[in-house]
Amino acid sequence: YLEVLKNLEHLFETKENYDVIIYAGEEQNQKVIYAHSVILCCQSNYFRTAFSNNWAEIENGKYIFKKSNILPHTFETILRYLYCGQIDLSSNNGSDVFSLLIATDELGLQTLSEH
Amino acid sequence: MSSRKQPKGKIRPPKKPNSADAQFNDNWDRLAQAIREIHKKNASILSFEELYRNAYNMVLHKNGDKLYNGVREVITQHLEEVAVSQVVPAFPLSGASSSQTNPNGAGGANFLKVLKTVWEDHTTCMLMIRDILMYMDRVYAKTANVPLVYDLGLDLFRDTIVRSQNYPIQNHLLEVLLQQIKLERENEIIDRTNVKASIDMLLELTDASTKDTVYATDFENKFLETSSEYYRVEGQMLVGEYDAPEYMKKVDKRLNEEEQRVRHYLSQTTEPKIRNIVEEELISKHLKTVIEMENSGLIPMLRNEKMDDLGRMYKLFGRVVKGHDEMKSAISDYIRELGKAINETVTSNTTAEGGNAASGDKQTGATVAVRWVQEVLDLKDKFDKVQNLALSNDKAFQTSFNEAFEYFINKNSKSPEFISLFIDDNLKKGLKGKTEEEVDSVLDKTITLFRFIGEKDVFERYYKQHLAKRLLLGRSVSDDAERGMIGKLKVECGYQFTTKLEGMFNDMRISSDTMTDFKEYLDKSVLEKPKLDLSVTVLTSTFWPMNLSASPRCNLPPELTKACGTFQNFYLGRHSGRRLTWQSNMGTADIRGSFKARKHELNVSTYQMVILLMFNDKQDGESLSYEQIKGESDIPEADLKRNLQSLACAKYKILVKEPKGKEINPGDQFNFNNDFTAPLQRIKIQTVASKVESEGERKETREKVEEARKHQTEAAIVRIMKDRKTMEHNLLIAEVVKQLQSRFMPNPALIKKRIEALIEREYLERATGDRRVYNYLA
Repeated sequence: YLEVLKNLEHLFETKENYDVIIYAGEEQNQKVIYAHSVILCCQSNYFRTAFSNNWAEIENGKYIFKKSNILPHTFETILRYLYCGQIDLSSNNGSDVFSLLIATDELGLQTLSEH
Repeated sequence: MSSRKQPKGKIRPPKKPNSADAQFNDNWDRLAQAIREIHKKNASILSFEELYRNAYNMVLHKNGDKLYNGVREVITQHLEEVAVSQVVPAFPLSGASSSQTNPNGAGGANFLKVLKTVWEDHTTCMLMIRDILMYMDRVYAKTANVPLVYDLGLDLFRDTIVRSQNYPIQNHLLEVLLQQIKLERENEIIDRTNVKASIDMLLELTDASTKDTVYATDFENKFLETSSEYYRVEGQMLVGEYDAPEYMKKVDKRLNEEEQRVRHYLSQTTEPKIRNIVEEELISKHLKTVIEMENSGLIPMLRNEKMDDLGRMYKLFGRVVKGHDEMKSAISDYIRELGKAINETVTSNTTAEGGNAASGDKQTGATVAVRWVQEVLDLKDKFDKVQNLALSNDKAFQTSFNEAFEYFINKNSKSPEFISLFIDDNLKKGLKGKTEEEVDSVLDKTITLFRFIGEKDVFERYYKQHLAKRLLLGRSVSDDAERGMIGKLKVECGYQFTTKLEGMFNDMRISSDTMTDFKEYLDKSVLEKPKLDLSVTVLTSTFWPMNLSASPRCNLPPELTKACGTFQNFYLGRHSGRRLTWQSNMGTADIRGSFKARKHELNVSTYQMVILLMFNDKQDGESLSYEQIKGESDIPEADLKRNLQSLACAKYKILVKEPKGKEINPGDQFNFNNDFTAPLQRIKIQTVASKVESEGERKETREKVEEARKHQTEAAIVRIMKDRKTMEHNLLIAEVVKQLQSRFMPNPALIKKRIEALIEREYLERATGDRRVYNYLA
């Protein structure tokens, strides 16, 4: 069980064979984050819809996803949760937690907000 | 960002153009435009993330209701346009004439096709709209308690297109659907996919007030009504045009078609309803007509053994409530009718034969009995076959058939005698031409007839008589077959029924042992040996059906009387306290007769022997008169006539009668026929053995049976009362009937008489308080 999580975390960190390119944040705060569509789709309805045939934006075989109103740092936290089901709030300050909550509400990740 | 709080209630703050409003308008414009693009199938230029965020922001800023209503408006507008630009132009030519101008319903089919496209477009768009409004669904729709946006889309489609107030779309849709179905019923090929698409659409839409599907509220009833009408007309037409088998094939086909139709493009919930309609209109309403169709209805099917048609009728009619009942009663009536016909041939035969009864040619009587049983068996076979091949061995039908058989078999008061005669016949000639298995299967079938007999005690009496003759005259083909038959009867009626029959067998066995002993006794004894071989069968009088008191007397020749005396001494010496009575009417004798041509060994009955021996003392050509023979032999008149007939009028004419003729009359003269010739050395003179009883004998048998029933009834009453001590009249009667019905059907009047007789003899008394209650007196 732990081994499985470890492997997923490894995947999250190495981004091996990624097929999603996320542009999180705006302008100078923007950051490119790589991810795997299967993981995102199977964990969240929002991403499943975003990457569905009707809506997907694809460049060079990679899904392109721009999310300007969520900070890269927040996005990383969310992604780690989607990969490993873990969240570490100890290193976050109050405002970080707040923006995380707002983002999870927008993306419809109830299980994470409940966390 | 602003966190402006709206006051509770309906009162809204005055609208001020502020940044929030501006942002709302900006967001909404973009969304509305996007929805239009989606409707134009231009979605590829849109960004999901952006639109979602727009909707999200609007809901977040408490503008969920505006958003929701706005979306409703955009979709409604779009659908209105679709109605005008696509649906209305596709209307088929006006309803009534459409089937004439478009005999193939092409206009209708096209209309359905357009509707299908419109519907598919709408659902596709709604899915995309749902995608971008996911947040609104999740957050706003839940709290505001309004339908999710996709369902809103369905409702709008229902109200703007399907049930449009502005255009008669609904009428056209229903009419076209019903017309397409009608065309298909009339063997046109229709495009089922288009019909199915419309039906599925109606199934997906929900009626707001009933919460049922629009299919159920708008379509189904109309469909059922028109179907009902359609099949009512068709039913009348078919009944008039086709014979029963064809009719049923058509109905079968219709049922199949409707089932297929439901499976292919209607809702499964409609299946039982449409099935009921077809069953009602095509089966229930015409049940009797089809059953009674001349030359092709149920009876002709039975007559011609049309098993497939019968099977089809059974299956079809089983679908409706009264179907099998009608069939059952028709078949039962038919069985009764056939049975009646069989009974009638018998009575007409016996009355015809009754005219010559005096001629003594009673062999035909047995033939009639055998033929009657054979015909009943054939009938039974036939209906067993029907039951097996066409009626799936339905128990209810079996019961009703059995009742019909029981009915007509018991209508023939001679049936117990006939069945016994039939068995007699088979056990006598049995093996001639038939294997043992065949005989056995015939007997098995006979047992099934036996089951139908109400008066089993009458049967028992006849069976005993016939068995006695078979045993004593050595006419039975096989001991195993006899025992087998008794075994079968035992299974049917229990050991009480057969103890006496078994006793008869026992007597035969013991007698043969006794004879061995008797021979030894004679060899050892110093007495003068009789000049003839005597073979005696000792019968227990209670087992055998002979009447002791009325045992026929006859003057035996002295040699024989002497031999009998010897045996009597021997037997009584071994078994003291017994009484032997000689039954001279049952014996046989082997005698040697010298004729001109050669000597013959004659196997004759005791009586015939007595008669023939009289001629020993006569000169050639000297004759004896009937009266002389009668006087000298003392043989009872009926037996004497029968035996003289066998000697003088049958196949072998040992005696010559003057005047010639088949009848034996007082005053006839008899001569020994010296010129007699025959190819065989050994000749068996047939005496008429088993025969249908004459009226007198029948009456006698009846009386005996009645007498036996009295005893059985009394015994049953006493048995029951001894057990219960006191009992109410009706209960007692019921119990007695229950105990006796396996042997015969006692009538209550008889039972009542027996109760009274028992009261007289003080076995019972009436209770003092209640005259309807009896007490048992120990």
